Amino acid sequence: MARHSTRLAAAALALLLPATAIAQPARPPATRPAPPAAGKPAPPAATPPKPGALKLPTVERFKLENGLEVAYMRHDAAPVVAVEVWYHVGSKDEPRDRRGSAHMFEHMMFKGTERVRPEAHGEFISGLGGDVNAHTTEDATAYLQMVPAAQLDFVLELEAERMRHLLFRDDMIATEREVVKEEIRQQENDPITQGLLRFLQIAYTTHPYAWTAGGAIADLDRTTAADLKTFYDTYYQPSNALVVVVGAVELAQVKALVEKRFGGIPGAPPPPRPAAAAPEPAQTAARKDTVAAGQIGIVFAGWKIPPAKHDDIYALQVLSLVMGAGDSARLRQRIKAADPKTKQPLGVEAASPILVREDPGLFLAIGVYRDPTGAAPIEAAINDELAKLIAKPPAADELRKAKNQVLSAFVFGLDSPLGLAEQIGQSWILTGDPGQFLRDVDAIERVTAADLARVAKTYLTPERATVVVVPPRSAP
Amino acid sequence: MIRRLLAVSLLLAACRPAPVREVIPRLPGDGTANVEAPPTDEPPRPAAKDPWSARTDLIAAPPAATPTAIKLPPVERWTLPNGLQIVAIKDTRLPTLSMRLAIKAGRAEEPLARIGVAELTANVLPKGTKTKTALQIAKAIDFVGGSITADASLESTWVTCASLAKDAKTCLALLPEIVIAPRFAPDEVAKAKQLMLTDISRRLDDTAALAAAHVQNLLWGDGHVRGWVTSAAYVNQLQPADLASWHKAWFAPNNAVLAITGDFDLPKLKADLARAFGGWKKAKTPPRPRYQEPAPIAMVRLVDKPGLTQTQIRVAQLGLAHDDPRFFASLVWNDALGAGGFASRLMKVVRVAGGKTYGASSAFDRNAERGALVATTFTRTEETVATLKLVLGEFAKMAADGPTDDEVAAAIAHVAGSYTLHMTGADELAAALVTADMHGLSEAFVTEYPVLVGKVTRAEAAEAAADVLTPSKLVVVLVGDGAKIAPQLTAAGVAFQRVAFDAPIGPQPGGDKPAFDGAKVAAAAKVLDAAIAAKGARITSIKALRMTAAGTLQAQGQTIDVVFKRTLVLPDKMRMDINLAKQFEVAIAVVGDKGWQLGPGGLDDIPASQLPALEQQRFVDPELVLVHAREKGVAAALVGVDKVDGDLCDVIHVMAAGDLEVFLLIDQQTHLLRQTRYLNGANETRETFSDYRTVDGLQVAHHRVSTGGNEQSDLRVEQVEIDPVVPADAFAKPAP
Repeated sequence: MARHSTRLAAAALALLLPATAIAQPARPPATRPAPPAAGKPAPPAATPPKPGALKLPTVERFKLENGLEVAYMRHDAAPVVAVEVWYHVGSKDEPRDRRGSAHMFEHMMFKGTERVRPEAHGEFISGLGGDVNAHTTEDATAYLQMVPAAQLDFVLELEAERMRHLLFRDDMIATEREVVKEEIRQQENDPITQGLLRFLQIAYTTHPYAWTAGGAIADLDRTTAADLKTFYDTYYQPSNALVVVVGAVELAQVKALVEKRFGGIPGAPPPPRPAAAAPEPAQTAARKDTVAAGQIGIVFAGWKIPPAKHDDIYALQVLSLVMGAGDSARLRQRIKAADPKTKQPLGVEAASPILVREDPGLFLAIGVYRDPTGAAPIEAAINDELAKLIAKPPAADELRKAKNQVLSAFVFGLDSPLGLAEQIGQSWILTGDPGQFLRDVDAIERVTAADLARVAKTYLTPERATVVVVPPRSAP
Repeated sequence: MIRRLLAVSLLLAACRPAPVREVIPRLPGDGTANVEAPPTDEPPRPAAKDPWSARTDLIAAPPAATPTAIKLPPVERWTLPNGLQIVAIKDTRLPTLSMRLAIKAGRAEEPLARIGVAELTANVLPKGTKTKTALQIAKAIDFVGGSITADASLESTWVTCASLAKDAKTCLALLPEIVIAPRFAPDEVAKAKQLMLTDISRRLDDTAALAAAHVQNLLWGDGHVRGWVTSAAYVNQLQPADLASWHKAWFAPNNAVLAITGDFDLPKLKADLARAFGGWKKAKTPPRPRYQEPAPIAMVRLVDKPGLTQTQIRVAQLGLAHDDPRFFASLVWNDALGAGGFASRLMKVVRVAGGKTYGASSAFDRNAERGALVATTFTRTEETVATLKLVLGEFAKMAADGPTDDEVAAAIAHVAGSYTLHMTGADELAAALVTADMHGLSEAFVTEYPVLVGKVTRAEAAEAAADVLTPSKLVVVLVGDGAKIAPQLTAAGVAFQRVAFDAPIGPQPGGDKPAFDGAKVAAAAKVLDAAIAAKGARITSIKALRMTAAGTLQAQGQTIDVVFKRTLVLPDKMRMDINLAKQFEVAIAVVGDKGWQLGPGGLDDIPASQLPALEQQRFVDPELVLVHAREKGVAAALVGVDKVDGDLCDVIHVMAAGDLEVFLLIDQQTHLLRQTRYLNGANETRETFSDYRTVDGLQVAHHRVSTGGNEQSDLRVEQVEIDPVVPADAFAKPAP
């Protein structure tokens, strides 16, 4: 198996899972969460399950003089250490005629530096029995390793080397461009991915979230060595990065080794943020499109939501669980239950993932169906479920269920050093605080039923909706 | 489901600028290794200046750690009175508890007529029990933020439940109930079928899944369970009663293992489990179906989906059983071939040609029975055959030379190191221990794994590679734009079969018996003709045959003497006279579709229900079965190789109208029939033939041993008459 994998358009797709399947239950505000809404709080249906005996880990945070941020969490279940380097650059930072360059750059980071031959970085980690990987999203590019704890210094040396000493050679770039194009061809051949890409294109008229990290073949063909070098010098700087260390190592050791390996790299000015100049205007009318048919039908319905740091994100996250997490969730029950009129289920499966982003992300509702006439009834059912929730906030036990799902996912998420390093990196990208995810459970606990109805009424309205349908081919 | 439907994982590969020696690959297709010139469509790349050769400050790899044994935490094992085996590993780092129950039955136990029943049963388990509806179960598990899932794999059906430790009672109540008393409510079965049908439809858009289905079918054939592919036609047939009978047959506590990991109190857990599973009744499970391994044959299948811009490529052959003595040596050479990521040869070679492809890997199944070795890659349409050649070339090179010393060292570091690094949590250990148990391997297999990998030498790895790899007999599946790929194959001189992407894969219900592949039919014809020549060509022209044999019959613990005389008159008359224990005489005669029997109980017509068994007897007669197998309307295919008394035999699968079916094992050296295998009711009967002697120009086996079910017979032939004079009334029903 190839060890590098990336999210690209699949970033979004992978997130289309019921939220309980994601190790990171919530990730928002650095600001103080809103106090409980006024009015009489609903009585809890069961004892609020505080983590209880669970000893919460802590994230230690420090900064080098050159601006490099470091986050450390001790995790000594096994003699291993996860080391990740997060660069605050993703596809939303790309020039509009160079879509895909952030992801292509992720490939280049394995292609040799002054002191490391091409692919040797990966082979070294492999030889230690370790895992090595990388991914690019709209907001970030991350490089990850898991190795025996004794190899912390070695991995930091490799990461420091490629932070500033990458080699740019034309023949290597030409070859790698073809490799990346092959990745895009996988999307070309899949109707569902095409549907999702179209959805993003019409949901975002201005903001660079209109495209994914996958980019476009034509833009990749235009990308030169000079473009890549400029990109590297702009964004691959210590002051635009976070080093995450999670494992069976000591804080003092981490401080000393990170200083030793990264301390000598000079600082750099803050990079440009083209997305800041392209805010997405408020949507005032529904948008809808239908793409080429696939073997199965899918309705993508979605609404833009506030940026990660906004307080309403917590309530929207709970709402996504109420709608789509677990077999008992509202939307999944509705789509799979027999329709009173036709006696047939509307569809075969449903989900309601939330894509929380640094800039305004998306709340999605998705229905999978087989009947060629199934799209309209599914769309109507999605709107109806939202309307019901606005008219009557969920009962106490349904809210409790969603919060329990968050808590359980949070606890299971503490198991893996790589998973924790991932959450720390995500927290930093989205909120600026690597330890924010540890506090999210408490913030979620304060969300009320009225909050759910309020955010649904505020954000998930018909005139703000974008719908793209991938129709199923007619039955043979 | 949504995860499987929607999650797309993309592989990134990287380029390799260093030039790698061109290989001369072999292509399968015409049965002979067909040596092609190296691809010429790639202009020679200018040798880039190596910016690293002059440097003395390169970062060096740290020395590899010496592989050491895995230290297990305390593992509790006990068995409930009903036979349920339990493995528990305590891990108090987090307040969670996970239960994983493995039922030792999966897709491999599905009958042909019920393909998909294992998966559908698993999917419906959490959808209602005798006392709870699907929604009640979902609400109970969702409320505590837990998960409950069931899934069928090839060898087993896994049911898992996980929650916070304080909510363990939810899993302790739900998991046993859905396993012991599922309801299979018709509306829930219907919904689950729709989901399976969705997955099956989706496969037509998912070229990787489509290629995976085709390569298993091509490698194993329509006659092997591993070659069967779940299809809409089969799933549509499945009814709630089918799920109930599958559940009744296999879901027994004595056919299951339960693994528990997490934060628990052992005495309390033991009491809880005894209560939760105590009501589950021990039961006898059916015999497991067995299948003939296919013979290695080179074949290429082009799966045509017009308009694709990228071709999925699979190259496969038989692999290893998990307990194969060559397992660890094969981990090493396969790591060097394709399992070692960027360090592996497939990755390096497929990327060297200017990024034409993107990544490649090879992987073994790890099953109790021998599975497949499959190499996987994909490339843009124009490069399909050039890329395929590179992959085939690497198979040939590895078989010929094995891995280098450096590759062996790197593979050991990677395989042993990775195993050690990942085998740390209670969940991973419990899963490894349960799998080892199911595959008949000891706990030491799990703990000594890194050490055993570390001991593999280059010579052992090379020998295993040479032994296991069959580079001239590989099956190849290409899923892509046929109009553009077919000319590439033709230009390369490769024979191939072409199928539409939406054509059914493998056997289909309602259709006749599975159709044999043309190459295997042709191979069988050759083997059968040689067998007929060895037997004596006059066998094809005889009109009648009478044979007398004597020996013993063992049944139900008793051994009795038997004398047996069988008279055949072609085409459709048979009479058997049997003397049992020197006391009882039984005569049985069949003419066409009617028959009678005369015994101690009197004279009776043979009931219609028993005629097929007698028809089978007539069909498998060892003197004439070779002739039957070459008759018009009878299908025969070379499906495998197996040993009889240590001698290699070709295995021919023969099928004829009326559900007649037999496997013939024909000696590769002598070309004589050594064994027949056929179903007698639910049991397989094997008749083994030896002591061949010449009788009137025909080779006739004079020693015949038959085993099947609880019966065994051992007969010596006393007399054989070719074209005897048969009394005209021999087959007539006697007067009562």
